[in-house]
Amino acid sequence: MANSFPTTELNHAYVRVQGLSKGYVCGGRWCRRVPTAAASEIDFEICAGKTLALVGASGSGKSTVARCVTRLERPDAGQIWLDGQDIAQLRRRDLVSVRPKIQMIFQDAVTSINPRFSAAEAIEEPLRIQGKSRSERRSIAEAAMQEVALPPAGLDRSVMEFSGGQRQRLAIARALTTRPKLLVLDEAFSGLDLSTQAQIANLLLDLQAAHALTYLLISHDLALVSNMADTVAVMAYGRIVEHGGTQQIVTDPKHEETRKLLSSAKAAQSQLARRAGASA
Amino acid sequence: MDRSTENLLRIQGLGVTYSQPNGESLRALDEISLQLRSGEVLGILGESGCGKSTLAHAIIGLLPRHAKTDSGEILFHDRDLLRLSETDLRQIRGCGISMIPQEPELSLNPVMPVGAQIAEVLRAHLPLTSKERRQRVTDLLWEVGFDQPARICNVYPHQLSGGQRQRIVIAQAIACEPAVLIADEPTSKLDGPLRSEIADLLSGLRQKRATAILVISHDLALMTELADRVAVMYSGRIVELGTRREMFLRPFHPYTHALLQLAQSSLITVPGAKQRFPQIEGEPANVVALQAGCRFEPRCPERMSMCVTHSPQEVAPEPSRSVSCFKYGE
Amino acid sequence: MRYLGRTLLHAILLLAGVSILCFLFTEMAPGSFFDELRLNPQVSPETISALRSRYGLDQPLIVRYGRWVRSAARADFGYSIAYNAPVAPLLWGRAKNTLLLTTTGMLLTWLISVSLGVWLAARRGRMLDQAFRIASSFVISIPEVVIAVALLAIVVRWRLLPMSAGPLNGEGISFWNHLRDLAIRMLLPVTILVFVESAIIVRHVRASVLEVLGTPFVQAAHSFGISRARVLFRFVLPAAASPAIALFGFSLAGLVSGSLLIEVVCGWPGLGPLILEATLSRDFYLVIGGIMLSALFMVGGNLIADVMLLAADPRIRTGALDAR
Repeated sequence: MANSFPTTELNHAYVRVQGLSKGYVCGGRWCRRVPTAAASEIDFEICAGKTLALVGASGSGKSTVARCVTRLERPDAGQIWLDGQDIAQLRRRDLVSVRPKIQMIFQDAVTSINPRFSAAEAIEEPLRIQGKSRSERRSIAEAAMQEVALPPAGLDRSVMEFSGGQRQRLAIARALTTRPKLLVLDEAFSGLDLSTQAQIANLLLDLQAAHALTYLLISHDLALVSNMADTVAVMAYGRIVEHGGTQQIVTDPKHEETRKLLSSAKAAQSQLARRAGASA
Repeated sequence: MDRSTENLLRIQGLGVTYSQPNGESLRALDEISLQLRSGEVLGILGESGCGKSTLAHAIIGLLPRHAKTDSGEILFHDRDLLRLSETDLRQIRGCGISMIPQEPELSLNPVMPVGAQIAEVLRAHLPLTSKERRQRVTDLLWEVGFDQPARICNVYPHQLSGGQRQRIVIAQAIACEPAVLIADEPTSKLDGPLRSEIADLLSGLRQKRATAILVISHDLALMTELADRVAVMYSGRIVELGTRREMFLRPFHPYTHALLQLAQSSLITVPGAKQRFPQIEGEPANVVALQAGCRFEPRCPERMSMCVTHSPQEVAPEPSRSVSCFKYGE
Repeated sequence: MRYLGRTLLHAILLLAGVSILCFLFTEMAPGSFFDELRLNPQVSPETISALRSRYGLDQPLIVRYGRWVRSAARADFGYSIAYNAPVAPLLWGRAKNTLLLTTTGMLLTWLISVSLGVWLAARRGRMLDQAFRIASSFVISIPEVVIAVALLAIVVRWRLLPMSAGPLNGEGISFWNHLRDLAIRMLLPVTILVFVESAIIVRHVRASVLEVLGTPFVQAAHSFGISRARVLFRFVLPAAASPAIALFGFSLAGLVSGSLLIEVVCGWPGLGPLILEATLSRDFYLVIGGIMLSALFMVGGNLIADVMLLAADPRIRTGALDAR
């Protein structure tokens, strides 16, 4: 393959992004529209079966990067190597074979799943696109429900009858049906209760171990991320300002932005410790 | 009368039932009893579906049409809010008891300048001239942390950020200096630094004006910052009530204990291999399919056989603390 | 401001385009005014061609268009062959009658529609609301002409109103009698207009108000103790106004052209019968004049609606709704 990227034997990088840039033309008057760079010169890689967390304040460009990696948008420049293939500038036709490998879980499960669907219809949607038969779809859907710890009997219930956390599980079940290798989680935990977050996080950890999934985790919650990620990349104003292993980033932050994010998370921790003390 | 010890708001045995379109009824609130004193912050801690928003709406009398209060009383200055006429209730709303609505993004009128929206609240309750109103709006904007109140007055909601919109909504709520403020999830849509700002704002209000605040949230960290006393709700019932310090140092109810564990572990620990979070098994109770027993029983790590068949009553194992759990007697 | 400038430019371009198309279509339509004359053996071909050149009909289309534009700039819109009179005063005389009808109709329609729309939105799902939905579907699907004729038939059959025809000027009768006469004659056409238009507008107003009623900011307004009336007028209606304003623009746009069929059916001496007649007899400049007048109102109405929208929704003003 002309586009193939020589992969290292030891750490097989499943996803490698180089020089990714994406800008938008927004606002402004008719002939004076201002192009803004939402993300520029983004470089990172994720090894197979590992998790990279992309953190930063809102507006730092994390979502833009996520959308480029999943090719919901086409980047202006740069390369996105996925399993040895550069998908950055592929045309829609050529992307069809690539799409099953990447799936995205969005922030608000209320808006990312059609509320008029039944659970079965929601999960089977990607299968229908692939042209699978009815019985095949059903059995895959049932297996998917079990994987996310939802009762298969609930397949015929309307999506609206599920709680927020359960809907997020449905979104994960839907994503799993295409047997993806890369899962992009764009603020998938915000808006959920703490206990629901814990359940979803544990579920994702289990799935990662079972299927050797690679995760790109996007969040502003450094605390959550430090328990789930192998490596962390910190973004600010459209650029990556610091990049390294989770332990290293958390214990020895170098860039100001990283320190800022850490300190606000730590402040909450110290307050809780100070006022609550150790529980009985 | 010493204001600080008088019970501003007293809720006794409140029960609310929702009737579903398919004929079933949901008991959203059951036997809720609370007291709120002037200048005190009471936190209602609970997760989605526990009924905390229903409680807030029941207090100001804005439950949806298919909900009914079928028992109990809500005493505000010794008047039962459940027996008042709509006109009387309207006078109290915004003026005696004020609610900060949940979603600041959507709680402001998109086609009206924010200054005018604050002025509307003033207009509804206080006999001020328009000049006085304008002055008061400027003062309020200053108080909630805007540096340039005059400019902000004429700005539209979509021109403000999420945190700024939250402040406007708070300004509306405190405009008429209510005695009780109900903050419904004030920080859940905001991230890190904004949360602390809003929390500071609220505690500042309590100090300056001796406003009693009812903070409703699932955010335990917020409770530790703000609340004097905390009531933990689960599935329409209050399962534990106590001072913040006591509660989090030595939680009684297994649910409180589990929540606390979660909150502490999700913070940054020393990272090693990826760790699982301590999770509470199962889903929040489906309020419709109620068994006779304790609502938390299916998920409780310490459940006993009697928890299935009997519902625990409220007991007070220590002064100024109460819990509904069979661990502490019947 | 730029937004307005752009809209104005579009309006002018639109009018120019309409005028060109007008010329083209009337030219392409088979026949001319003098066809009947031609069939008459007593009229010689020379007379006909003399008449034709008198009215400039022998010139090529482009020349005719150029001349028309130049005279239009001087507010001279040509001559009507049938009436042997200048087009502009002829049109205007009839247009006044039409405007009387349509403005009355429009005012009544909007008053009724907005009130009914708001009232129904508050009573969503109840009996009256359901009944209205069925009735309005019915009215919307029946062609306007059919409703007009049906109502006319009822009025005539049961002699509900005295029918008279002829000019509206009321010479020789007292002011109050004139007014009374006018009112009686307007009753039927206005009723038809209001009936037909309201069905559509009420539905839109209702839908728009319903949407706003369910929003959090209306709930929030109630929770601050603001009275229901004030919430309605200061919060709900302004926020629900935008779609209604667009419709209002359409109403304005149709002030001249919307009542054509009704006028013909009811015998109201407005623009309708005039233009119909002119079209059928290929009275060239009258037809064009009539269409341009109609286009002018249409463009003007939309322009006014755009300005009103700008004033009503600040999000348009600050460009916040212009997503990528």
